Amino acid sequence: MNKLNIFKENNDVTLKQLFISLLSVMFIYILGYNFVIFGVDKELINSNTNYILIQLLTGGSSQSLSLFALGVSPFITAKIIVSLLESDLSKQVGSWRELGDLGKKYKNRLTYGITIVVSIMLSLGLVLTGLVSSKIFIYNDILSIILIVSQLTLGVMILSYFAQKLDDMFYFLGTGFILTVGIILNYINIISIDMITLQNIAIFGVLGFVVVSLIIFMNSSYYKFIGTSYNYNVETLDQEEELKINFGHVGVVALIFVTPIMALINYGINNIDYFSSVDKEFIRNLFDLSTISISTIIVYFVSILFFAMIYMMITFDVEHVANMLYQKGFYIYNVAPGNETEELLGKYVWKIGFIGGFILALIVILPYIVNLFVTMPLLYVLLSTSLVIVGNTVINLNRAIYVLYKQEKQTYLS
Amino acid sequence: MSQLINKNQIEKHLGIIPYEVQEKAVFELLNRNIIQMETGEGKSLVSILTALNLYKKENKKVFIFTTNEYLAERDMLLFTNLMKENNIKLGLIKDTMSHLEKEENYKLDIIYTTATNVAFDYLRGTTLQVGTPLITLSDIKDSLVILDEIDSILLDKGNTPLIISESINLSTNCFMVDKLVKSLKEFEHYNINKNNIYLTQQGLQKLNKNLSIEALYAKGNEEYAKLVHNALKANYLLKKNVEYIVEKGTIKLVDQSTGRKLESQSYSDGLQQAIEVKEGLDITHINQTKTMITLQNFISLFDDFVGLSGTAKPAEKEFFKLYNKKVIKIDRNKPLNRTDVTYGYMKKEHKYQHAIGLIKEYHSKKHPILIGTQTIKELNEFKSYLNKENIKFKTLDATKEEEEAFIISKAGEEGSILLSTNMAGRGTDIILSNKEKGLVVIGLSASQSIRIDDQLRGRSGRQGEIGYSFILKSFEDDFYKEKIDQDTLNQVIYLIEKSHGNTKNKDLYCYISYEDKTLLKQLEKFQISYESSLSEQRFNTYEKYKEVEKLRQSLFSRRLEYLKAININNLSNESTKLDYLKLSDSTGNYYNDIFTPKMNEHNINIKPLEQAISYDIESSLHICQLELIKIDNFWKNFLIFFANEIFTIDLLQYSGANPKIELINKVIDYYKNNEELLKSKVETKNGGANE
Repeated sequence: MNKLNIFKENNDVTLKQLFISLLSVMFIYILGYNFVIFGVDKELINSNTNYILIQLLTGGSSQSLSLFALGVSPFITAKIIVSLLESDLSKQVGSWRELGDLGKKYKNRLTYGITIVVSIMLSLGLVLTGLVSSKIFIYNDILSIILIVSQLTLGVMILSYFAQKLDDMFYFLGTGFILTVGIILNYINIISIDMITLQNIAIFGVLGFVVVSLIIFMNSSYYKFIGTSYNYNVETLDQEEELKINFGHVGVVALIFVTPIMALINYGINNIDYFSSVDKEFIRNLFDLSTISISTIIVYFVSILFFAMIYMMITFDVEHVANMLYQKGFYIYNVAPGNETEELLGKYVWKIGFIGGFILALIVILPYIVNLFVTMPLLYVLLSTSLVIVGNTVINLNRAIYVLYKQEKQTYLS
Repeated sequence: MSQLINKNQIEKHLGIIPYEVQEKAVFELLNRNIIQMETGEGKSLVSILTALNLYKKENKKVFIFTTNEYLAERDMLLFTNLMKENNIKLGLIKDTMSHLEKEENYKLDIIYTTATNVAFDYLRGTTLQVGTPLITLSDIKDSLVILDEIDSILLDKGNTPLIISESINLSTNCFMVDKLVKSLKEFEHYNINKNNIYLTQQGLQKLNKNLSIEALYAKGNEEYAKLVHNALKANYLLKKNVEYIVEKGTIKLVDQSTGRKLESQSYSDGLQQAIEVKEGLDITHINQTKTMITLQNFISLFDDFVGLSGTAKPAEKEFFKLYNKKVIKIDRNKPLNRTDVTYGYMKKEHKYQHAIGLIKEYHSKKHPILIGTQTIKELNEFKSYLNKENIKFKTLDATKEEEEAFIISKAGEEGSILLSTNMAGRGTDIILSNKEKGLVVIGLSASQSIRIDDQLRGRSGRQGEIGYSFILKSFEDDFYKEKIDQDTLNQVIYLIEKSHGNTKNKDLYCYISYEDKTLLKQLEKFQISYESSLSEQRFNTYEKYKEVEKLRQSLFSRRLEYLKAININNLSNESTKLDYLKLSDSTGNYYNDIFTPKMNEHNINIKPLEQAISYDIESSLHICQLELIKIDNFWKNFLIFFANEIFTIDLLQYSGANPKIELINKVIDYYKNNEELLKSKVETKNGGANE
């Protein structure tokens, strides 16, 4: 009866299945990562330092213009857009949440649709902003552009498909995992032996430790509402129950979203002749993550904090949560179910988003601040920031493996 | 395929020759698939022939679960002789049978009954303090089951928990709370939306004042909060003759998918009592869950199952996702000769008027007519319309289950009109007296899914007979009013009205007729959406109980060993006891494995087998009884813990955790943290504490 079904949606997941699924995705990623797309001359691929740095955070591999050059970022962007539509912007999308499987199907379709649009826009941006020099086109310009755009979009769709499959097996694990694999591959690709000095390793070690500790702190801290449930039970009539809203709920999406936007603004403005050199200098001071300045750090911090709060507001739909609490028979002490609960949660979600976003932004800018005092290679600064994404995935993965292992070993009444 | 069926035997006993499609159905079922076979195509024969082949091939007991006892008994009687010739003994389990009768029937080869009957017998067996369970987990694991109307069992009723409960005392405040809640007014004191009922500020203030408390939801007032919650639900959400009926001074729940009474089931957590108070009946004790199982988890305990239904195909994705079973559609023996129509209306009034028109039209042509309602309330409502028109009709609902066979046997007669709840919607064969006058089915309102609507249609057009089916739906049907978000519904209604230009025109609704495609599409879209959300709920419930099932199976296997030991000690004759033990020892070996180490643990001298029985009977019996109590208490407390967890586990996703993983973790941790309770010190009869 226990057939091994890799990627089978909602199958009863075993540890073995999880490992095989993750390894398969990793293998596919490595293949695609090293597969240079058709239509470009491999030898002449333009490698832009600024863009490579962005890739270190988003896991893509555009420096070699491989099939997975855009990574899984367009899919993440699409997911955020759909969440946004689901919360307030679209009544139609919002109603899908009530439709169970059918709603999920509609939502997935829309997410994939938006992913395609975002991928086409990004790959067109890659070509048109000159990141890919027209000198490397094998065919005439138009054909090469079409070829590049369709292949890059295909690459994103392949990764999105597997990310969704893994997400279905384990909440949110797939996207984070693919992102992590991309980041690690990029580092392996970029890091050179001369960067590995004792001092660098020591600084990075301490930084890494602080960053990971802060992530763990963020994931394990929460705001707690005390209440009880309607389930009539004389013995446990006044048994307290808790509704916990974790600061880690803000996630790392803000980081994934804000970093490329800042880099693209910087890159775009600096490559468009229309802007004066003063404008370009001004933009660089605010958005150039490769030249670390206090003003960039402040913009980075504020953007992440702001976006984290927005993301929290989007994903934590208080009306939906208040209804769910009622249906599950839970009420918060001194707060009536329904509107009153909704209002209370609404107030706290801002606060929780602010605290979570603040911690996340702090984790992200920490390496930049350290770098103001102790100089280290830029790669290490970004590596510490990437650790936020990698660390988060590893913590989730570790939890899943731990529980599955525990489940497999557990025998009752042995 | 031909060796599966002995046609001569069937012809001899039943006077019919099986159709080719029936042979194909048996073949597919033996391949462990689910089949879709239309009503009137001979599903009963297919079931028994599959059971016969499974029994012979696998040498395992086969259960056939039908939707109700009436069908189980009918089929059992129909096939007894045929099976006798094949040396197969057919059994029948009915809820009202004595323990002894049931025990005899459980021993037979192929057993007709309902899923809930066996599930409850299994659950009762796990709470016995002495005696032999009628059916144990190992019996179930070693049996196969054929599910007739599989979608009704696994989908419509799949995640309803079957609960064995024990009584605890009820707070006397419930009367005062009920009186208070009855005085509340909708919109002023409370609001209802989609099965949620919320108190308004004014409502809260009124309750606080009358209950002389500062705040209903403050700590320390939990009892009031829960009583108010139940009273609100009982008074304003649960309706008499819809969710329940009052029969001989007691509340009987009504199965919403079949319209039948649920004899041995009641609401738990004080809700049943809140309804009793509402109806002014004698109050039963509050039921506290002692043990429970959902039907979908129960069916999964069997070695394997197959199933058949006229409406399995629409749910094939769910069957595959949850149970890894394919749904195969079996062609009709004769082409369908039935006209299927769905009409949509804005207002119930127009729908009923059109229904009366249809009834008059077909009644004048002497066609038998079956009118299906979703609830008894709706049935009573429509009665008055029929009476007003002086139309003669018969009724069938949960209060007339005893007369069911007779009423159904007359429903196919020329010119007959039967007004029935969905009791007649599934599993009933209406035989026509005149094949030229096909049965006309009129569904008076939308059910929760198109699949259930189709079940009602299926009563007509058996075996290529002429048939007509009309399902009439309106936005004022209970389904739309109660199960659909009212804001969304109002938005849709507004858009439809707007598309017809004049929203202020009172006669507008007459113009928005059943010919309006958008209207019909929207009505059906809500049904599809709701079915989909139910499907997800079923999947979640199934997932959540998986680890619990593992724990249950281990605990109850151990429990059964102790129960067996108690039964041995209760045997009066010493030598019988020895024989029994020796026999058990050679097969089950439980005495040495379980009993002796426990005696050691409890500091009782271990003696050779014979001596242990003759000298330490009282001690050993007592130990086993204590062990049973320990397991029962552990399980009861676990269920309380789990009931709370299952309510809050989905909230975990708001803390970034994976609810599925965390629930598994919680079950394991609960076991580990409380494992000691299974080994804890217990007081013996002579007062000492034993480890």
